[in-house]
Amino acid sequence: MEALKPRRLQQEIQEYLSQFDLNRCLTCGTCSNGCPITGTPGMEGWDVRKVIRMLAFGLVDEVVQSKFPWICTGCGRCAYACPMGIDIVAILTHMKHLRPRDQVPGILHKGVENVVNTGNNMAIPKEDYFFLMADLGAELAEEECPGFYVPIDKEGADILFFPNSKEVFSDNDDMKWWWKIFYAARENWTIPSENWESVD
Amino acid sequence: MIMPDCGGGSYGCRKGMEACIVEDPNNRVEYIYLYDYLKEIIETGRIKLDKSRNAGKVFTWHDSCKHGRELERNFGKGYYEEPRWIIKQCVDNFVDLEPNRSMNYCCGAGGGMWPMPYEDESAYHGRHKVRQIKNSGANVVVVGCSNCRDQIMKRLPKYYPEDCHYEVKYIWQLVAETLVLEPWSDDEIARAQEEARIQWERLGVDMDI
Repeated sequence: MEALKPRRLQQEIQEYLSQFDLNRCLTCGTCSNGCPITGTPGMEGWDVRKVIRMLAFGLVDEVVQSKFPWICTGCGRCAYACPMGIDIVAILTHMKHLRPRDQVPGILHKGVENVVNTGNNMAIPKEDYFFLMADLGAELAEEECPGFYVPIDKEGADILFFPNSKEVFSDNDDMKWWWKIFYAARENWTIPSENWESVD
Repeated sequence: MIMPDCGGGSYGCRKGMEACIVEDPNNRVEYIYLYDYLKEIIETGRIKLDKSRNAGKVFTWHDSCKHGRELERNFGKGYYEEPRWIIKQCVDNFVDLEPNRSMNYCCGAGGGMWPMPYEDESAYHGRHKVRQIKNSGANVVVVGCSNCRDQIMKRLPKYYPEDCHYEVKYIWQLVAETLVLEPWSDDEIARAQEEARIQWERLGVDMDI
């Protein structure tokens, strides 16, 4: 078997990774032991202990091109338990960041583009947003909360609430729970008219 | 401002705000986390709850990674006790999942895994969650994150149909469903209706459609 020669990393990546002292890794395996990815069918031979070790040896491209960073949810069990306090979550997140945007799996990047251009992940136009709030708010007023309406850009509000685009886009009725709470508490609240997305 | 429920969002928001404040201290915004908000309005009596609505069911709480462990690790405090307190104001029968709090298992939907094409891996990631809920004997799983809710409510039962017999509720849904609604006075209603009328006019929304 050929000996593995550690490679020099690109300047930017080296700078980023040097925030974390990967030499501190003892390869104890506490991380991969608690990690839900370990054992995933189709990812045989991959676990987070190995990934950190690969990075310490400069095998960044192999990690970035693999599926591994993308099936990591960033749950943090690894970093929480790591006896050397290595921020494995930040490292794995950075591995996602290193993919060119057109190679990001699925629709994730579309959501990012949408929120940058339109202020919400689903590119919902302003008129639709306003109309939905007016219409659904009136529905709630009729059902259980007489006098209810959804304040938008209300001056002097105490609470600024950011809707979840999933609820604005499809699960509309799910918005009513918070609305009922604000009604019952007679809260002085509002939602913004622009850049209103709350989902990451 | 209310810190959003999205696991990644509430974490990202805090990280982003740190950066914004470094850029310009005037960017500081006061925020309250949804758990602190719900706790406050319950404690101060601004809302009233009727526990009997939820009688006959066993409730448990799923500690979201970002609201708990990751918040603790990155910002010094995880929200473990607040949601439990809130739930206990709404129900009599509460059990914990094992393990729980900072040692809880991830549901498998975070970090973009919910909308991504890796459904199989995501469901596999959530295998522990199925076992935890089953072992706890809970009928209702209460969650604080919309990813967790979708995962536990939709994806896990799709992949583990024999083992998933539970309902899933958002914590604010539980509170809303337990609310004793005190009706607004005619004055309050009239005032609000006028405010609404002015607002929709300002925004150009035709309410008569």
